[in-house]
Amino acid sequence: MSQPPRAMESILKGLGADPYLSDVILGDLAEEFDQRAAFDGEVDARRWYTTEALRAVPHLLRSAFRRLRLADAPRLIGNAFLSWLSVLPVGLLVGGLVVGVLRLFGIEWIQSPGMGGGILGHWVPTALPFIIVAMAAMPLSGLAGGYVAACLNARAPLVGSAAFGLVWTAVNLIAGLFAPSPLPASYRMAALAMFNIAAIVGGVARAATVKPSTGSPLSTS
Amino acid sequence: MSSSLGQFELTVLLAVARLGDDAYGLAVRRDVSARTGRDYSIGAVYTTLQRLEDKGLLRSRTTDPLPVRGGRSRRQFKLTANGTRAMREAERVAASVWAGIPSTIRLEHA
Repeated sequence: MSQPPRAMESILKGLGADPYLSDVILGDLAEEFDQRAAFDGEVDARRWYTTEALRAVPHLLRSAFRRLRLADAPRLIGNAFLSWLSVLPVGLLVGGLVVGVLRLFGIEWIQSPGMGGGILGHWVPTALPFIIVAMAAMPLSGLAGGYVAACLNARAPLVGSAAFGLVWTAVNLIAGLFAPSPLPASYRMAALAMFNIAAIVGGVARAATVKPSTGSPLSTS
Repeated sequence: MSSSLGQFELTVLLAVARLGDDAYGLAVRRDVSARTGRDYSIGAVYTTLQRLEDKGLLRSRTTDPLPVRGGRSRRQFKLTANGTRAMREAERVAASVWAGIPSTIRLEHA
């Protein structure tokens, strides 16, 4: 018997919707996938499944948000910050390596003054390699942080990953108020988008191993 | 019981009534899509079924797990007495608002 796309199943399971709802939706999708695979072939059936699973996402997200309780907010934000802190060494390591390489080759760089110095200030690239490395570091950090956030929010992995991306985005925007970045807006937007997408991908990777359960979507107990 | 039904809610309610014991999400979606000519997502159908159940117009039960569904159960829906009343009321209102419309406009004369 053909198997539905596992990644899409993981996404739907990881949204943290009412398990009763996600279970019947996954069941219906699996049932129709099986029939379509028999009549139309597995390729068409998988394409259909992916489309229908994506169409179900807004409804499951609405269910997930309805299950949120006010008491869940501190835990969600706290977990996002914990995830951010957990990937901070990655960023510092990459940043340190980049700076070392730049100094090695005598390439100049400056750091704008900002609240918190190096963490909330902006390193201003003066060379293309710096930009390339920095842009490559964004999805890596997002991926790692998204995975950690999903681990910390076992019952709604993707909600945790999305919250991590949003908190990180908010921190950067706030930092930008104190230390306006001279970088082009397109660079900053691309970096933010890549980070958030990578965070969701990290959450999906984690969700593939998580079984949905009952109760509040953000509880870990 | 809710005082009014949305158009899609009524369409889903009618599908459940039509399907009888076979009224579960997949069958309802196929029935509604075939009759309206629109491809509704399974999420939209279940959201509506859930809302109708919350309004007391439907009740549901889960079947035993089925291999074809990856070991998951079906959720079968059935009309309640309030659901039947709501359908009758919707039909009465529809007949009332269509009354007096010239026959040249009515679908059977088009």
